Amino acid sequence: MKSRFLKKLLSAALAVTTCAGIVTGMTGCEGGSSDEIKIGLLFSKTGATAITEECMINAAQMAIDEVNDAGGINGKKLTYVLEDYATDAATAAEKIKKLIMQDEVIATVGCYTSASRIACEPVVEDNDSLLIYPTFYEGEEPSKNVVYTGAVPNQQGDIFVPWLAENVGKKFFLLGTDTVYAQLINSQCRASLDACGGEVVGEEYVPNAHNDFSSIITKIKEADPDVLFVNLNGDSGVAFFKQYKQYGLDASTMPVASYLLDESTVAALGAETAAGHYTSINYVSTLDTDANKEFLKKYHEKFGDDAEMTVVGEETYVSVKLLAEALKKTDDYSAASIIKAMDGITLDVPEGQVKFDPETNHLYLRGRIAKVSDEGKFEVVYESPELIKPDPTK
Amino acid sequence: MLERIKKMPVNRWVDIALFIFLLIFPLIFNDYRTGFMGKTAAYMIFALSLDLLWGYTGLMSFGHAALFGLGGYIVGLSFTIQDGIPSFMARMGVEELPWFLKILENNIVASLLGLIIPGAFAAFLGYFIFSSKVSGIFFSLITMALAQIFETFFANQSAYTNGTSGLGGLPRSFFGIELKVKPFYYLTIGIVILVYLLCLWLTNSRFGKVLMSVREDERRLSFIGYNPARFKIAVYALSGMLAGLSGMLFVPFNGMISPTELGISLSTMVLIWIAVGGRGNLTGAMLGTVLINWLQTLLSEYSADIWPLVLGALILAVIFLIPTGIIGKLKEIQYNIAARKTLEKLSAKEEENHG
Repeated sequence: MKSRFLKKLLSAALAVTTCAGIVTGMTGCEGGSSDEIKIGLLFSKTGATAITEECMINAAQMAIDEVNDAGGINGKKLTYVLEDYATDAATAAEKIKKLIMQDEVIATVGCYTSASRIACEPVVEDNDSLLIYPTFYEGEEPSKNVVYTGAVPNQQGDIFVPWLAENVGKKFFLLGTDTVYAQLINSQCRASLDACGGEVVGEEYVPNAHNDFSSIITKIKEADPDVLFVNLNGDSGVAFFKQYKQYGLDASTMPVASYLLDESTVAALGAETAAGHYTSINYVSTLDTDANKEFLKKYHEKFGDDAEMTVVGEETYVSVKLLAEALKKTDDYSAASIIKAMDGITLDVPEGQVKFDPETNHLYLRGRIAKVSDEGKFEVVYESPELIKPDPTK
Repeated sequence: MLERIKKMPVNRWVDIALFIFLLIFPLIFNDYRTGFMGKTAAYMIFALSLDLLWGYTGLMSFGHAALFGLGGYIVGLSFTIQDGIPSFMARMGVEELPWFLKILENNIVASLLGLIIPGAFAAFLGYFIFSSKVSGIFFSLITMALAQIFETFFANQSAYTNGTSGLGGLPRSFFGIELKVKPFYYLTIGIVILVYLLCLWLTNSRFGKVLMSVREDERRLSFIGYNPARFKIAVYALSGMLAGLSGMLFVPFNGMISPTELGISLSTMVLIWIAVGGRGNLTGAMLGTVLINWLQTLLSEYSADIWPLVLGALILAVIFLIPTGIIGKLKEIQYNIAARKTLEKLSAKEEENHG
């Protein structure tokens, strides 16, 4: 008797959920009112990169709050609609369509994976909308509907390879996932090594999601390089670092240099495994400046002391600030006018000063080389004296 | 005639309601929602193709998305190479289109290949699997491995497939016909109805009856003199072709295709759609697909975190409460009512006789 009641209750609950869902769909969302400006946020709240993207969502919300606390956009309130693309490129394309066509946002800040950005580009182009992409990435021929606030390879590599050659050693071993990205940065690495008198003693590529590096580590030991230049995607990278230690390689004699080593990878590896390796990036959360300390203090007050901040989080914050500044300068919210309004904007953000480059829709950024300390924190060991001009097609 | 309509199984009524819903959908909703429902309609064909295999023949393919994605990639590649060598290929040092891409330059040839290749591949694989009498869970495992292999293969051939990023910016075009959202939507619905009619005819034919006896008792079937392997290969090939067709319709709505579209996660999702809707009656596959996709998009808009929980609860609820799926349950209810009526009639007659 009891179980039959339970069954009925469950079925009823199911039916109600279904109907409620269909009704919400029918009513849909209304367009923004005239005293507010609506933007979209597109990040993964579920899926493989959800942990990495959490700080991006936080940072975007914090930046939007700051803009509104300071009077909004010429008196108008900045509001947002958040969509989850679940680390899936097809979902990203679907959701950005929804943001543009259903919610009528004027611009979207979002995407972490390159695949999701590439999937969204045709959609923003077809609808003449604007996407602000806040992740460091492999570079591409810039789309006229996309603004890129992350670093491109030349902003990481131009200072990285010469510095390593001078301060660590001249013999490099290149290892990467078999993708356009890794092949590109390895060929750039070769070129800059040639220029500063270094040499490549080995070059290997592994398939996506490869996780057994025993034979490659044997090759590395035979080649005996001074620097391991490693750019492996996702879990592959974590597996490599673990096996590196397991097979007795030592960061003090043969450190790993990687573009893809960030706070979240270090957290996944643990301080002991990650210590002694290098990365080159425009922002690390341990940056010792007043602006950054102030930023982190506010961030932790808002999201708790355990909330992590990484380069992509900071870049998302920069993205929203850049968009807000541009919106203050224009009444026409088409992609072209917003991008035109970005021309000449320099911003003081946690990483220091950044400048918009109208030629490429990217940002001038300061290059920084950081080493993982024994406590698992990034220590900045070198800073480029000037902002580096972005060259996304190099 | 009236008697025939009255006796029509309940799921045919659901079919008609579903098609009416799909036909008036663009009149109620905007282009974005219509595009979404178009994608779901492509998925419906995919679910139908698997229902033939799983629901009717009892072959649970755990990697059906491999054939779906294959069809999708074939037309996707064809669109990508329309203006010469695309930039991602040039970046990987491809200077001239290899022969296997050259044949895809013509949209119509590519569309035909999008049907033939998944079908032929399924027939080829089916030949080895079924003639060596592999069945049950082992068939599921082999097909699951197939999806994993396809996903990894397409992700790693980045010179031709753009790796994990996949092919993007694809036009809304089918067999060389380029259309706007709404006309393309109606074209797709038309194809869904045709595929549905084909499946309906097929499952009611002698061929369909043999398939069901493969599911029920293969040994007895071979005693009677049939060769079950032949029927299994044939239905797998047909199912592969339909899966390829659905992939070809999915790509124009989606605008892109990436290796996730031929992997295990989509393969599993389609099994869930069919399980929720009810297998072995065509309606369940279509209803489950529409219901779950529609719920997913609405709930994930409402709150991203809630959707996986709802889906999990739904799966559990179906397994525990209605293991035959929604349509299975409806048919059961209809059967019970009919049975009760017959019994009442009989007992009434009996009383008359006695009285």
